[in-house]
Amino acid sequence: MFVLPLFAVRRVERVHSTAFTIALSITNWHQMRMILRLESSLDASDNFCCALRDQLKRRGRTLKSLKPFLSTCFSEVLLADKDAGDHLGGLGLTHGFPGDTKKSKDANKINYWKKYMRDYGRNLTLARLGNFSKLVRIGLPNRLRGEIWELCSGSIYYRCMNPGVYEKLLEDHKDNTSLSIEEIEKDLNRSLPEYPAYQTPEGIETLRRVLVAYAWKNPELGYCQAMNIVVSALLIYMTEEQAFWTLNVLCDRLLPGYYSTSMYGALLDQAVFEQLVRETMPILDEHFKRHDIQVSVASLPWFLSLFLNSMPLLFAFRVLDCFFLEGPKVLFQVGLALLKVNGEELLKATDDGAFIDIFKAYFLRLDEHLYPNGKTARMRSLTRFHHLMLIAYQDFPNITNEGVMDLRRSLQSKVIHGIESFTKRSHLRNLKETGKLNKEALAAVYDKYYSILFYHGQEGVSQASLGYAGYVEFLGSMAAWCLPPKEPEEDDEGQDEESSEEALDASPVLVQPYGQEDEVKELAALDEERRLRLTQRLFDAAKDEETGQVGFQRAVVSTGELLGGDLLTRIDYFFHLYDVDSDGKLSQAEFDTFCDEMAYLVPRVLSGDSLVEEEAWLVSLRDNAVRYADPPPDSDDGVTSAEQETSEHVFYISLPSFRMILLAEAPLERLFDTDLAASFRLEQPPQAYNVRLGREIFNALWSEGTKLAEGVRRMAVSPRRGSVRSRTDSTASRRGRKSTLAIDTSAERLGVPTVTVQRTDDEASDGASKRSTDGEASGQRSPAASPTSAGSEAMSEVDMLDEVDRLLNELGHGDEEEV
Amino acid sequence: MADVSDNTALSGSPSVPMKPVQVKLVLLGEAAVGKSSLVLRFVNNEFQENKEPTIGAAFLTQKTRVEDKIIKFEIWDTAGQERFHSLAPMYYRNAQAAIVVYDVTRAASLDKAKSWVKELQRQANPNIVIALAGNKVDLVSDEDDDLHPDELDGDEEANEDGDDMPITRQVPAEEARAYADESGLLFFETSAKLGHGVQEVFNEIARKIPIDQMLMPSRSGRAGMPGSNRIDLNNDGQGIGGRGGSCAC
Ligand SMILES: Nc1nc2c(ncn2[C@@H]2O[C@H](COP(=O)(O)OP(=O)(O)OP(=O)(O)O)[C@@H](O)[C@H]2O)c(=O)[nH]1
Ligand SMILES: [Mg+2]
Repeated sequence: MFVLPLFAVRRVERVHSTAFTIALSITNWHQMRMILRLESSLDASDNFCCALRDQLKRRGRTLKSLKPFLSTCFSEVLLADKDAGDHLGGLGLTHGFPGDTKKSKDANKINYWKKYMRDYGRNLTLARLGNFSKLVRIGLPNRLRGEIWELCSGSIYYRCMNPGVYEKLLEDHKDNTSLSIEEIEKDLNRSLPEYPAYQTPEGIETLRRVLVAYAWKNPELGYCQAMNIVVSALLIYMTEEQAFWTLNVLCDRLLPGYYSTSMYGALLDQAVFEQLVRETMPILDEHFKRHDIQVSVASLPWFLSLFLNSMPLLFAFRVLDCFFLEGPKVLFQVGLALLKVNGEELLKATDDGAFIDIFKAYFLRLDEHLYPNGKTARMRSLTRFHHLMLIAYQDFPNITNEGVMDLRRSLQSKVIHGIESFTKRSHLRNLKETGKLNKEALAAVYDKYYSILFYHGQEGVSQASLGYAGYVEFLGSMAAWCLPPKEPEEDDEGQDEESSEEALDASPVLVQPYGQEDEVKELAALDEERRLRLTQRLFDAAKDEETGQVGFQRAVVSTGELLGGDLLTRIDYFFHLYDVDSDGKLSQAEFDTFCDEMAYLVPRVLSGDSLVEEEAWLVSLRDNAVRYADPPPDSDDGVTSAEQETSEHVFYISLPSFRMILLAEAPLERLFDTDLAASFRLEQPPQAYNVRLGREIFNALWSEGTKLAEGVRRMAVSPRRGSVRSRTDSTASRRGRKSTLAIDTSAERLGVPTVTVQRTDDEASDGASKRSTDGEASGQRSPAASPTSAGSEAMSEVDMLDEVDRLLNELGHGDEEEV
Repeated sequence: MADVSDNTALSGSPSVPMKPVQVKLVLLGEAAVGKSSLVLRFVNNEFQENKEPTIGAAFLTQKTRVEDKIIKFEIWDTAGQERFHSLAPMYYRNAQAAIVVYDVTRAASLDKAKSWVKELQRQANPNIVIALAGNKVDLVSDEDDDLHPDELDGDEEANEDGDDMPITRQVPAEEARAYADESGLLFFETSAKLGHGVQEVFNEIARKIPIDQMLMPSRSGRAGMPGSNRIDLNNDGQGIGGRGGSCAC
């Protein structure tokens, strides 16, 4: 990948244009010149050039304005041959880096990187050409590790474009707390305890700030165990701000959904991994199936903690180097290699425990030499870790990031389904009471409830329970009578009169056949008022007194009262619904309200042909009420009931009387016996499924990708992430004095011309002379002008090249697999 | 500790051929209540002040003797954070025993423990032996701690992490015991730090496991499982991490 932020471009010139191709000479901030040869139709090339020109004109800032940013990059200090002291780096600077720097040839590596960066740019202008990948794969030097990580992951661009954001997040929330913050606190002194810095207040504070800032940046994700381990590892090599932005890139892009509250991303990648095992190592897979061994009992922690809590740190960092360089596929390659190198042992394992133990033992022996008595020094120096990485690259070259994405896509619905049904099961299991609902009804109520909750949550903050509107919608998704009558098609919006009339006609409302328009309207308004009162009543009965909301538990119980139970329990429930003062009896006023609302409910619930004229049963209901009503309890108490005596029909209805009155009325009996319950439709609308998680996953897997692409597009010349492939020109010298960068044909599909970058010694010196005329050359080293190192440095470079050479062979065929 | 660290150390004693019986045991409970610490105490007889949180799950084994039999515990120590919950079935499937841990200084952790118990009773192996363990009693070792919470600082094993706030017991032993009795659980209060009660939990579980049924002809593997222990492909016990479809509810 090759990204050149627009603001890092100093000048662009057209060169070498022929009748068929255009070439651009781009000089970047660090005074390096590269030639882009556009290998495409002239039209397309012209378009590209115009777009580039416009973008360059519009760019807000130049690298010059980013001096403060550059001063935070260790590479600048390194190339200026200054001493950064213990600034510009992670905790390792003061607390030491894990491992033996002599053994890892740290100084040599630094020199080699110095050279590389003089030739190919640094920080924002670094181009990944030549031996870049190899230099990363042999293990990064401690001092540069943080910066190369942020370069490879792309987090450097976020940090560069968002100055001050990290500090501001911390400042803005310094007095706030949340569940995530509590969870972070629990883990602070449990993060990489073997690394001494995390036993000091300074180290813990550093870790706390990064995790807390992220939890506020992304409150929906918050904090997930394993992030503490990953971040504490990053912080050994990175500053807080670097680690913060790298964590962002990890969560959003490299490990999408891993640390989310459902952890679907981690589960999805386990499914992907298992699929890859099946495809690449069928014998092992067969064995695991036979013995009911679940690969993910071992592999899940590998992925979640990027091997940091499985391998000794030193090796885990080497894997991380490759991971940031090449993306998530590396985790899969290393995982597969782990199974492969332990294959024989694994075939002897007959349960999960033995399976997991094999890896535990293996990880402890990663530093062992494979051939201590080998013939050549090179053989003798080969460790198990080298071997593992060799297998990872050599035996699984076909694992690509694109392939992983494809598998993620094809497996996601299965995984989402699994999570959905699990979440559902545990929600249902955690119900304190299931009310009067059976298992099927419970499951249906769950789906309805959560899909409504989701839709309501979308508008504002996501909620954990429903308010009145949501609850009515929830009931209405099962029983249509809870909702206002449906408007007919909205095609004649202008005609208010007509459309409202049509609404009434179209709705199942009992319209008085003799009704005049006004009467019809009046009646509709009355019915709507009854509906509002009835639903409010149902909501009030269901809601939690404290919160005034209906949580899932209450939704279950209240729905159960309506559609579960039997005739008598439903009658009892209604009695309580209308016994507003809960004195155990219905006053006349309460009973009147009941009758009124039944006038709304009954015609809508009873099936068609059994409808009785409203008047008839309502009248007889009222008559019966008077007949069966209990006498006022305190009828002889003249003083207090004086008010009541002024009204003619003072009566009270107790629960038994209420039952009797209702049962005497055929329509009501049927309402409570069967039809009310039957008015609830529980079957699942197909689209309601997976809405929540589906959205979450969709967002993470795709829009995160686009977000990033947009961000990058804004600042980069590179037309589209991932479309630029680099290869070493076959005639190029190993030192990469000449190299070619080509944008492959996939770019063509995106409407972007193919670009080839060629940089030769001549051109570079050419560039150098140009620069001197620009008069801006002060302090900048041009690649061609960089003095050849003297004496000792040259020696170590030879060593280094040997090491590289060795790894070129060892780690296989370099980064050319795409070409 | 008188743990049996390997098979040979024991094989001399009785005349019965000593073939260890494997028992799969799972630890569940809220984050940071001390699950891993309990296991570490039982297996290695050590305590680490800053144990890393468990990611996914950890696996350890330890043998212990009950009467004349040797039990080999295969211990699955799970991650406690809520979002790891959906992974748990992957670890408790086929478990014959479970230790559900809470922290006596945090009432909320008992609630979480109760919900684990409920889940196990519904979803796990029906004969599973469950123990409830209230951990970190060393933090409240002052017997009548409710009366003298301040004196804790003078305690020899005073906590190092709670610098300003004195740590008080939030879950009375009687309350937890009552709950355990009513739900048919074994109950212990433990301190992984001091080693109190740890061996006892495992021993008591070992005693409660129907070993004789388990000594059936089948070889090592899942010798412990009465009847078939193949995963039931579409049943509740199957977590989402597992293969096979999970059923709807
Ligand atoms: N005082 C005291 N501290 C304990 C005890 N047991 C554990 N701890 C501490 O509590 C913290 C959490 O312990 P862990 O064993 O990692 O907890 P866990 O339940 O495994 O946590 P997760 O893996 O995150 O679920 C550590 O800092 C331990 O040192 C105990 O008995 N007494
Ligand atoms: Mg743990």
